[in-house]
Amino acid sequence: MNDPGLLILTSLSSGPKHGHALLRDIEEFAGIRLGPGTLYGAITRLETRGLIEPLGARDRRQPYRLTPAGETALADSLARLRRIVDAGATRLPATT
Amino acid sequence: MRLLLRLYPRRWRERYGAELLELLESEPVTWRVRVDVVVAAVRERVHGSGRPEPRVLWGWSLFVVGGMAFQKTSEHWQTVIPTADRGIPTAAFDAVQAAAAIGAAAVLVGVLLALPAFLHDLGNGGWAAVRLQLLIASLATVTAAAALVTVALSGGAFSAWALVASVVSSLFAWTHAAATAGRRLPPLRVHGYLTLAVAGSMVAVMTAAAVWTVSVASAAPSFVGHAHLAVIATFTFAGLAIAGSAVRSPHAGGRAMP
Repeated sequence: MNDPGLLILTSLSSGPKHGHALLRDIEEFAGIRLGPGTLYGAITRLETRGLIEPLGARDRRQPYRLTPAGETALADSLARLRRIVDAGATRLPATT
Repeated sequence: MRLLLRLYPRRWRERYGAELLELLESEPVTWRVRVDVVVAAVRERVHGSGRPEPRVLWGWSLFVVGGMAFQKTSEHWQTVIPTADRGIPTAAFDAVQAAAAIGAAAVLVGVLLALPAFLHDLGNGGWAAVRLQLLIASLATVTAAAALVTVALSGGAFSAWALVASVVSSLFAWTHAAATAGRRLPPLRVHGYLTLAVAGSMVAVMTAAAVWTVSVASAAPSFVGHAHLAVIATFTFAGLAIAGSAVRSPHAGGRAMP
């Protein structure tokens, strides 16, 4: 699972972060090192869809936070993933 | 690093450029990072906002006017060119028609893909936003139809010019209505590809039309008039420039996530 948008939403669910902190956090909890271009491409799309929003910039660092729509989208995505994980976990023993 | 940022659309750079630059300057910039940024910049240019782009519609409309002038200019061109000299102009003329068909198909696909969202939007405030434009476009179409009937029944140069003016007015009125409606619609995933297809077909049409014009003019210098050429060139170049600007500088934004 390496959808950059979902990784960013998951990271922001623990609080606002700027780009550098997002990269570090995602690498820590998912073991995935996103490229800067990939990160900002996903941030662009998430902000366009109103799932995240910028807070006041500190210097050139711009923190982002989840919007209520972002929290709902993240919950929906996680519920969908959970169903897939549960189905896989249930079926896997039968195939081995 | 600033050179890499130049790869992004200007509007994207204005919004996110400083943040991305700060991030790039705080990390070791490996070749992998450079490739990642280049790929992301290309994606921003290709995908853009994904919203139906008014500039593409307007560019195509202007191009269609140039195409109408070209169609009128090229009528019966075979009669003035000796059979032995028709090879190149025939191939060029066929290429014009094929490329124009591809461009028209791309526009049609975009309209069809946007249609369900448009119909849904009509019931959610969209009707109030576009009803005036739709009314004007409908009236312009009725006027064009009336002019067509008048020309068919009575002919005359004045009626012919009135027909051209009313058809062009109708085309622009529908373009304005479509552009107004398009601004309210959700992104199309294939928007970038359709824009490229439309702009690419325009380039192909213009290239083939230029080959046709030169080959016909060399065999029959008086066949293609300067006034016709000026009209064709003005509208096709303007159309291509406007549609091309939508390819070169799309809005920031994009695809459905997660």
